[in-house]
Amino acid sequence: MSHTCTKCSRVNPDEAVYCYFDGIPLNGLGRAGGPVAVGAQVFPNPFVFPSGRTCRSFDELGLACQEEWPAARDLLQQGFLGSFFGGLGRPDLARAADEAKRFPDPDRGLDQLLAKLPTDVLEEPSVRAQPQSVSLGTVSFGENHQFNLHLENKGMRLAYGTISVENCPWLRLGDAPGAVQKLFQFFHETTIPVHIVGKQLRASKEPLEGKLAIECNGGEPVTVLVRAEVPVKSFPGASLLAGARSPRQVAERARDKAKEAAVLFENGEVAAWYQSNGWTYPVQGPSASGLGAVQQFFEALGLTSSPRVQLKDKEVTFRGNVRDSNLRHTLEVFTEDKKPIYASAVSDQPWLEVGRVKLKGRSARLTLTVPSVPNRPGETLQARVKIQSNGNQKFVVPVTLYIAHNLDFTSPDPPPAPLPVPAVTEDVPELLPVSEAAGEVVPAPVPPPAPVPPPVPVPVLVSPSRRSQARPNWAHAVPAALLALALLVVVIVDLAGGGGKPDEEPGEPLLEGVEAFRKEIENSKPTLGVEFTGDARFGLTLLFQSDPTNSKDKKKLTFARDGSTNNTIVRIDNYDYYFGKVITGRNTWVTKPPLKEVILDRAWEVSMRFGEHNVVVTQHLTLVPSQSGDLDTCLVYYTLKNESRTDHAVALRVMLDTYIGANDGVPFTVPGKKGFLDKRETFNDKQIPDFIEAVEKPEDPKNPGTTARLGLKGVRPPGVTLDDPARLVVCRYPENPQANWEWEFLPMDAGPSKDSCVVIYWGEQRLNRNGLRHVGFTYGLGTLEGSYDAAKAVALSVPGTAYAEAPFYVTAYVYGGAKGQKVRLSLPEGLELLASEAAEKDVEETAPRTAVFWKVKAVRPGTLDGIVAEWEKKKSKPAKVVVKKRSIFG
Amino acid sequence: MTFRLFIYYCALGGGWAAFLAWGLVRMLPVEQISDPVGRAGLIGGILGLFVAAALGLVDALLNAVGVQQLKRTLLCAAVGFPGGLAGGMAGQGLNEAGFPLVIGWALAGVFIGAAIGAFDVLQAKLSGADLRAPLKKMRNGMFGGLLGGLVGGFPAGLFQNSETLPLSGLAIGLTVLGLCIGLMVALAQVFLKEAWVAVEAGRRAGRQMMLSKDETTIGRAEGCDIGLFGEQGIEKVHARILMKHNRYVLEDAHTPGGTFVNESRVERPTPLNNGDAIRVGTCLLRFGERQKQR
Repeated sequence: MSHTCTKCSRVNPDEAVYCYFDGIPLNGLGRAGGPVAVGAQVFPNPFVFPSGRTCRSFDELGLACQEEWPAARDLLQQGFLGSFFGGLGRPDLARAADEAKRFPDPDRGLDQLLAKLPTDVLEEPSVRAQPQSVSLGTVSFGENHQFNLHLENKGMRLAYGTISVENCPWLRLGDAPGAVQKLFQFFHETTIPVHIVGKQLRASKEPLEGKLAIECNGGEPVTVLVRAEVPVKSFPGASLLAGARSPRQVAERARDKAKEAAVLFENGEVAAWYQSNGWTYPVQGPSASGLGAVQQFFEALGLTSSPRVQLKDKEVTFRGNVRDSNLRHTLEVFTEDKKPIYASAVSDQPWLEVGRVKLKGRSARLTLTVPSVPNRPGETLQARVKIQSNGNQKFVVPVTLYIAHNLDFTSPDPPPAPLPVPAVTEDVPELLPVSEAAGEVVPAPVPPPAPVPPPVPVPVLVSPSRRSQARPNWAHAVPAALLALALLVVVIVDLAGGGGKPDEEPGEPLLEGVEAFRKEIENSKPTLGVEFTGDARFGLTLLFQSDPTNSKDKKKLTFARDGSTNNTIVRIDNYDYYFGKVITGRNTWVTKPPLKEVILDRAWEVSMRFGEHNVVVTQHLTLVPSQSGDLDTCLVYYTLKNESRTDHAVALRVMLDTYIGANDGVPFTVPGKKGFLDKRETFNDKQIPDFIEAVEKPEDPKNPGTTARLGLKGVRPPGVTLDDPARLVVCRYPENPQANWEWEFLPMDAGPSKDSCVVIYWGEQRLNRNGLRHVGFTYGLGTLEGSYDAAKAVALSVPGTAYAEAPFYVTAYVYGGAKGQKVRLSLPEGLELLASEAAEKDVEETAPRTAVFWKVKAVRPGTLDGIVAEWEKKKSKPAKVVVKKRSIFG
Repeated sequence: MTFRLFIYYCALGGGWAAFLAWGLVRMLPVEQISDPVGRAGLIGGILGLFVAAALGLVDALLNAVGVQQLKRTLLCAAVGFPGGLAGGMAGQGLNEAGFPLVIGWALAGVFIGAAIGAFDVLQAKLSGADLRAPLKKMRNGMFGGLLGGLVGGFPAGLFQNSETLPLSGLAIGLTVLGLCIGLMVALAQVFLKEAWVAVEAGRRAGRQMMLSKDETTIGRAEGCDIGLFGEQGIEKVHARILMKHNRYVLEDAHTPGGTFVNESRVERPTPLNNGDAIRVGTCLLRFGERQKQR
C-alpha cells in the first residue's frame, strides 16, 4: 500500500517512512512534526569510492562527490551510483542518475544529479566577476585592446552559463577575433579574454560604453560595464574644411563655398575623414563629381531636397552572336529640376558591365557594355542594372541579351554554380540625422561588418587554358557527315540495283551461259507443243506425231493436251495453294497478262503472288534440245521467292498425269531397279533416281513407239540451281484434277484400266526475306535405238545430252531374254564405264522385256556416237549422246 | 570532353558502329541463316559488339585515361556481344510469339546500355569497393538503352522492311537504331549523373568527368581517374574524392603542395558541396552534384 504525503500530496512506496520528496513523515510513522534530516539518515549499506572513502549518508555522499569529482563522474557513467540508489529503494534517484548518465556533458550530468540529492551540505554555485567595471581611458579609432575578465565560483558544485556582449560592436569575447557570446563552465574560477575591436570604435564627444552580461546556474545575473573614450579627429590639412570637428561644420562650410568644397568631396577627402573617425560616410556608392558631389552630400544629410530623376530607357535589349564583343548601350538619367544630378549603377550579371558615369549638370549617362557575348548559343540571358541617383532614388533596368544559335562544341557546359554576382545593396543608406537641439550632426552608428565572402580562386595561380588549341567546330561534324555520306552511297547503290542477294549468282560467265543457252533454243526447232489452261496448267504434245487414236490430233505426252489434269500445289507455312488459282485480293498474278512468252513458241513464264505470305512463285517452261538437236524436252522449273518481311517455309508438289500416245498406264523404267514399275512406288530423297523412263509400247520391240523420259536430278539450267526432289511417287492417277497435296496413292492398275501419274515433292525449306529457291524437272522424248525382229531384240536408251564428268545411265532393253544371258556394252572413245561397272552383265530374269543398266561417264564434250549393246549376237543400233560442258540434263 | 560532346559522340559512335555492324552482317553469311531466332541473335550480337564498343570508347574518353580506356572499350565489347545476342534472340522469340519486334531491339539496347557500367561494376567488385555508384551507372545505361531501343526500333523496323530499299533499308535501320541507343544511353548518363567534376582552369580546361565510383583519384599518374597530366605542382596521386555515408568528401593524399577546397587547405576529409572549387597544383576543378536526399 502506497503512502501519500500529507504536505506535497506525492505518492511514496510502501516501505517509505517519510516522504521522498520533502521529508515529511508518512502516516505518523516518524517523529511527530517537522521533516526528518534525510541527508543524515544512514544507508543500510555504505557507498565506497575507489579511493576507499566510505559514504554512509547522502550528506557524506554529496561531499565525497564534490571533493572526488572525477571519480564520482566515472562512477555515474559506469552506472554504480544508479544501482546504489536502486538498492536503497530510491527509484527516483536511480532514474535521476540514469538521466544524468545520458546527459551529453558528464560533468553537467553529475552536477544535475547532485542537485537532486536529498542533502543540504552542497551549496548552490555562485559566480562573481572581477573587475565589475572597466575603464579603458582614451582609445584611438583603429587601436585594438584586450583585458581579462576573471570569474570565480563562491559556492560549490559546477558553475556554468553564458557571458554576452550587449549591443556593442566594439567588444568581443574569447580568443581572437572573438564572439559576441561565450559559454563557460568551471568549478572554482576561470578567465575570459575581452577584446576591443579598434575598427569598430567611433569617435564621439561622449565616452563609449559597452556591457557584458553574465548569466549562470547559481546566483543573480552580473553586468560588467566597459568604458572607452574615442576623441573626434578634426578635418586634416589646410583646406576649406580644415579643423572641422563634426559633419555639421563640414556641411556649413561647404554650403558657403560649394565649388571649393566640391573638390574635397569628389576626391574622397571628406569620406576619408569620416572613416578616420569611425563614422559611416552618408553617401553610398561612388562619389559624384563637381557640384553634384556637394549636392550628393547634402542630400545624404537630408539638408536639401533631391531633384526628381527620370530615366529615358525603361529596358535595354542586346542581340549578338557567341563571342561578339563590346556590345554597348548608353542609359541616360535626367531631371527637369534645376539641380545637378549624380548617379551610379551596378549590374547583377557578370556578362554585363557598367562603365563610368558621365555627369553633365542635369543629366548623367551610363554606358552598358557586353564585353564578350557568352558561349551559350540560342539562349536569352537576363540581367538587371540597378541605378541609384539623387536622394537615393533607385531604378532597375532589365537588360536582355539574345544570343544567336550556332554549333559550338568546344565550350563546356556552364559551370554548375553561378558565377559570382556583384552585390547590389538594397538598403537605403542611413542619412545623418540632424540634432536641432545640439546643432550637431551625429554620425550614424556603423553597421555590423558584412559577412566575408568566400575567397575566389586566385587567377594568377592557374595556368592558361588550352581552349585555343581545341579542335575547330567543323571537325566535330566530319564524322557525322561521313556517316551520312556512307548511308547515301549505300542507298544509291541500292536504288541502282546493285544490292543483289547472295542467292543470286550474277557474273559474266553465267550471263554468257544464259545467252548461249537462249541462242541455242532460238536456233533449234521445237518438236514439242505446249498448251496452257487459264490457271497456268500445261500439257505437252508431239508436234510431228499423230495421236494413234485420232490422226488429226497430235500425240500427247500428258493426258490432257492443255494439262488440265495436272496440278501444282504450293505449300507455304503448311497452307496449301493451287498454283494458278486466283483468289481476289490474296493470290494474284504478278505477270500481266499472266502468261508471258519469253521466247516465241519455246519459253514461257507465269508468276503468282500468294498475298497472305507475300511469296511469289514463278513457273518457267522452256523447250530444250536433246541429242537430236531438236527441242523435244520441256524444262519445267519453279522459282519461289519470299518477298515478305518474315520468314516462310515453302514447299511445292507437281502432279503429272503421264500419257504416251494412247497408253494411259505406261510402266516406268527406273535406273538401277530390277524390272518395270507398273504398280505403285514411292522414292524418298537419295532413293530417287536421276530419271525415270516410259515406253509407249513396251512389249513391241519392232515398234516401241515413243519413249518419254522424266529427268529428276542433275537438271542444271544456266544460272539456276534446282533443289533435288524430296519424294517421288509413281502411282495411279487420282481421277481428280484438284487433287490435294497428298491422297491415297493406289497402284496404276487399281481401276478397270491402267492409269499412271507421277507426283514429285520438294520438301519444306525456310526462306528468309528475299530468299529464293528453285525446283524443277524435265519431261520429254528419249530414244530407243534397237535391233528388232519378231521375237528377240535389244535396244538402247541413252540420255539425249550428258554433262562432262557427270555419270549417266545407259539402259539396254532385252526383248525375249533369259536369265543369265550376257549383255555387253561397247562405248566409243570419250565415254567410259565407271570403275565399279563391268561391260558385260547378266540378264536378271526371264521375261518378255528386261532392262540392263550401266553407269557411264563422258570424259570429253562433243557428240559421241557408237554406243552399242550386244546380246546373243544381236546388236542394238548405235546410239549417240551429246556431251556438253554445261548441260541442263542429268 | 564536355558532356555535350559526350552526348554527341555517343550518338554518332552508336550510328557509325551500327553501320559497321551492318557491313559485317553483309559480309558474313548471316542472312543465310535459316533459323530466324539464330539470325536475329547474331545480328543483335554483332550490333551489340560494335555499338557497345563505340559507347565504351566514348565513355572511356570522358571518364578514363591511358590504358583504362582500352580496357573499358574491350570489356564493353565483350559484354555487348552476348548482350546483343541474347537481346536479339529473345526479341525474335517474343516476336514469333506475337510481341512487337521493337521489344527485341529494346532488349538489345538494355544489354548494350549495361555494358557501359560493366567495367565500373567489375572493378568495384574485384576491389571489394562499394557497388552503389557503379550499379547506378549501369542502371542509367540500361535505362537509356531501353529508351534508345524503343525509340530507334520503330524507324529501324520501317527502314529494315522497306520494299524499295532492300539493301540499304537494313543499313539505315540499324544505323538509326544504333544512333538512338547511343544518344539515349548518353542522355541517361548525363541527366541522371550523381556527381561530376569539371576542369575549369588548367591544361585540360573544359573537360568534364562523371563520378561513378566510391573512390576517384586525382593526379598525374596514368592510373588516376582524373588524370591531370602536364600540370605543375601535382603529385602522382594528389587527392581522392571518396563516397562516404552517401556524400562525397575530398581527401588530400598528404601532398606538399596541398589540395584546396574554396581556397581552404584540405587537412582532413572535407565534404564537398555542389559548386565547390577544388584546386590541385595549378589546376582548378569544379565539383558538381545533383541534389539528393541525405
